[in-house]
Amino acid sequence: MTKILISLTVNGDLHELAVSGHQRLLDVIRDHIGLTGTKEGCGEGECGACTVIMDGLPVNACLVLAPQADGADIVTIEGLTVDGTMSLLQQQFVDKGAVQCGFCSPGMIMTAKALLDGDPHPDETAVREAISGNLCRCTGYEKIVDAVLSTAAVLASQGEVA
Amino acid sequence: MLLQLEYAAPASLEEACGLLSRVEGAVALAGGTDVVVSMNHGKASPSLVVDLKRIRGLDEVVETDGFVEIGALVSMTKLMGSATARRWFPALVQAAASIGCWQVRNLATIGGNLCNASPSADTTPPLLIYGASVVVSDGTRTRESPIGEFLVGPGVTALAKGEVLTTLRIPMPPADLQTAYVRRAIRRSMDIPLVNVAVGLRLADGYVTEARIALGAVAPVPFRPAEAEEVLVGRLPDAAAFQDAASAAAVAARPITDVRASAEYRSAMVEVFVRRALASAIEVSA
Repeated sequence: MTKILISLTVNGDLHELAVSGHQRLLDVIRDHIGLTGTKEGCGEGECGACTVIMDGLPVNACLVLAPQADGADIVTIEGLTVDGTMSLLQQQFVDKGAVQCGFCSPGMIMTAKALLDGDPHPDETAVREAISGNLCRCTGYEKIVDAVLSTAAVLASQGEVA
Repeated sequence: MLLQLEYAAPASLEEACGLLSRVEGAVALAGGTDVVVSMNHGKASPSLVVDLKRIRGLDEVVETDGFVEIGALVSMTKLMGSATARRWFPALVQAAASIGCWQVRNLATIGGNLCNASPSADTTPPLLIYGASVVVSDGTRTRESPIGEFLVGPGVTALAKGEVLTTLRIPMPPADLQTAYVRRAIRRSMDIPLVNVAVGLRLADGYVTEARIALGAVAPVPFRPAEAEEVLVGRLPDAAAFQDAASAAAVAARPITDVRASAEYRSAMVEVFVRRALASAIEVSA
């Protein structure tokens, strides 16, 4: 089994790793780099729990082979906190009660982050469309949508980053 | 569980085709949304994955003389954002937008969608009404064939060992072609259509001069029901004409019963969705 050398940037840090062809980006993030905030739900791109932002766009980390991510710039849920302080978006998830069991939250928040980065003022339809690939079995989505919309509202008033 | 496998990302088409033809059990990888899932499920156990991402020029949408060339590695998201695609092939863009979810569309490619050869692929019916061809390379020579010949059966294409689909070549449609894409699925996201329909109509003096209809998910390979198209020509684009076309389409369909729907239900839905697609094509441009 030939190991493949890859380098990828995760949350601003450059990692050089030797991976196997069968490893997925999800495995590298969790097992090699040790960032376990990114969750594995279905492992087939249906649930969105493993969503990370790759080169600016949300992707299912379970659908990307690790060598495919060579050279990529990845942001995971851990990349949103600054010095242990939650980002505005994360804080809104807490404040609005958008987290119950929490398993979908990292992926859900990464999709919402990518949405807000591209469109700081999405309407409810845009939010629901964006997160349609992120399954949540607890909240019924209402509070999640509230959290994303209220983040957008705060951004509009303060001109901050999600 | 993924099996042990080797990975290569050659920088040239020649090298990629060489690996695919020489290595037993090698598969080409585009976006990975089908290949990686089937490996996860153990449905596929390739010995080598040949990632096409480093080969230049496969992820562009280019207008040439009377044609648009869409590289096989163009993602659904890129297609949806392409001004050229939106201008010339709105039904194709709509189909791309209905695939999976945002995360999947960021990875999934137009070439991969075709090579996966699912009978219910979203992009195939629009490609059929636009008369798309595929360009296939063996590393030294290329050949071009219509989509209808490229798709052979469920999961089966006319790709020979060592060949790679590089480009979709689509003639720019006549400016007055009015199109629509509709699909019947249980969920709005993350769901495969039970029936999908693309149509294109041209009118002169209020009468239909040309009709293009393509049906997906109701036969081993998406196809154009010639009888349904012919029944419209020379008619006024009214409810009666659309019903006649829809009935003819339902007769031409050869759906199966599976976990997602019965053959009877699919036949009934062909009729409904052909009617809706035709009405929608006229409405959008009216």
